[in-house]
Amino acid sequence: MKNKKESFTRNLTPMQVMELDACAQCGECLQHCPVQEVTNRPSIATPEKIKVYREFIKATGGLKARFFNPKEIDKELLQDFTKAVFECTTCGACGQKCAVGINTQRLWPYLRKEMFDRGLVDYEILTNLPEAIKQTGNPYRLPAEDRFKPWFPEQVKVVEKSEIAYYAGCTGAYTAKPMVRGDVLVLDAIGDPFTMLTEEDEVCCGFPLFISGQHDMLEALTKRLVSAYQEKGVKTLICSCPCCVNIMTREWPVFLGRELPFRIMHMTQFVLDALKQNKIRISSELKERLIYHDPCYLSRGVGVIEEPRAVLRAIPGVELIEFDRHGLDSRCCGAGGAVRKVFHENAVAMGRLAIDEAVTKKADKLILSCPACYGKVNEAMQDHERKIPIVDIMELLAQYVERVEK
Amino acid sequence: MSLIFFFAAVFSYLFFLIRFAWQGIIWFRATGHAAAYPVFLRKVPATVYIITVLDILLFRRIFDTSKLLWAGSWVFHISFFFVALRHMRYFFPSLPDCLILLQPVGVAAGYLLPLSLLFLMVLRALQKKDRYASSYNYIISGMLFLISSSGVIMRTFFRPDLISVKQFTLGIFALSPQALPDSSLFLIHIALFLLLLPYLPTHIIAAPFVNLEANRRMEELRYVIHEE
Repeated sequence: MKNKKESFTRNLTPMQVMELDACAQCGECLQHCPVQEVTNRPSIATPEKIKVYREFIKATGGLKARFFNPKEIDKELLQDFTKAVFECTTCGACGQKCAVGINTQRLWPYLRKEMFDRGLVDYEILTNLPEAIKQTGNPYRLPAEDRFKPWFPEQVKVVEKSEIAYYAGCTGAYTAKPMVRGDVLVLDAIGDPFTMLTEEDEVCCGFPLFISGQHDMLEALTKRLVSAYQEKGVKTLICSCPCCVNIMTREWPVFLGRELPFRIMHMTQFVLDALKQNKIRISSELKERLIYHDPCYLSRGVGVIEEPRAVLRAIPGVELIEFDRHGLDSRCCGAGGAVRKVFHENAVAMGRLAIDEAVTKKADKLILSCPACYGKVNEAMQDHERKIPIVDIMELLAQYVERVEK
Repeated sequence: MSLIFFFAAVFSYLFFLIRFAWQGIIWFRATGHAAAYPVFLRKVPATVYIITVLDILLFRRIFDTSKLLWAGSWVFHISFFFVALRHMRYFFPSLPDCLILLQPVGVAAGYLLPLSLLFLMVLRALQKKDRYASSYNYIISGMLFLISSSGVIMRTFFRPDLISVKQFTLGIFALSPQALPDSSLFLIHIALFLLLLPYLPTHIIAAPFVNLEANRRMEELRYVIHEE
């Protein structure tokens, strides 16, 4: 094990260490944890992880450790903690419902980083991420030339330079093609000229690295992307992937070391503005009950809750229904935390909870707005007895939206 | 015996102070990269502070999660607060008027304190097996229950000589050992308290700050990606 005498607080802010201390161990968060819902193992729950991490801090920085020899931490305990902190989907529901208000959505990536820094993480799918991104620009190690070509509609024109840019994101571009295709079709309907980076230049936003605790490449990735958009004269960067939007808004300024030179907008915000400005209209009817799932990093992460709903309600005939847990309290579909492939069974079980509730509520379609959710919930429906059409919000809108000619 | 209790008390208070001070040092020695976290809310509105004060006084976040837990926790904390205030009479040579006025409230709180603890422990025990149970919380609650129950028994049935109790406690802070009051219940009461003091959870200090930060964050969420 590397750096065994290093403090366990070196990756945390004073407020995050206070948050660890503030946990009253009441255990109320367990009833909001999707991992608990499908595993029922309190030993990997938030209060237990916090309790164990406090022990780690004490063992290296506590009074006894300071004045006598730091205690050797049991390797098995470290490994168990590492597994527990990676089994979490980092959805942040526990923090949202926390009796004292601990920001767990931001805490977990930094606890994961500590475990990475100590060489305790051996999930190949995660440890291979930096190399994959270095070689191909995406975490899936797929060729850059396949990033846009398979789904980009021929009729849509992208300009060389514009104040508006669209970032597709790796997960959307490679694994949720109907979603990103829907994005550009809707952007085309809006009619504002928009630019994009080339398939070689549009590299990973850094989210999988950030969330898995591997932060070494983040500064370089951020600077590369920001300067590329700056060269194109971008003032507004639009993206539909909640994870990308989250890291762009919250972490890019940290890794850039200053405020971003452009504004980040979620696709639904941009569409809603276009609807309000009468740039687009929806005249065809859709007489269906739609249920919308809030992605954790969009709702709890950056507060985009109303816009997707307003966009769906703009389709005449739509009856929008809600999951029991929605908005800030939404339940993770299982795709979060960059570990949906490591803890596949958990993720599938969580995805099925969303499917079952949507079917029980007699929804005609389950509307998603995240490529990771899109992939995992579709996967969860395979071999599942209950079925429902799963559609991305822009995939749906692209079928109904029309440009208002002026 | 008096000397043993005197030194135990000095050690317990010192340990408590050093532990809490050291915890503060641990908090502020954290030097994570996340310190550069961008601020989207340039000025924290006064409402955030008001909400935080109300949260601390009324335990709104627990209320949102579990009404039963809220009832038990709120009664426990509020009665603990008034019992602690009532005990100030043992630490001041002459008691300020405001504390004199609060003495009857402290007496009522003294009866509520063990009841609320009992309620919380029973609530925990009755909850489903798959719920999280913290052994530390059980130990702290159990000790507090014994301390508060012995206090109630002394107040109601076997009153110790209050003058000698006051002389003993004032002697601790004056570093001048005094004779122990002649009461076995008092000895149990104070022994348990001295045992508990060094292990009081530090969340009593951290939680209000974290609560303030959570309220600031919630207010900030409106401006993270939305223009004002």
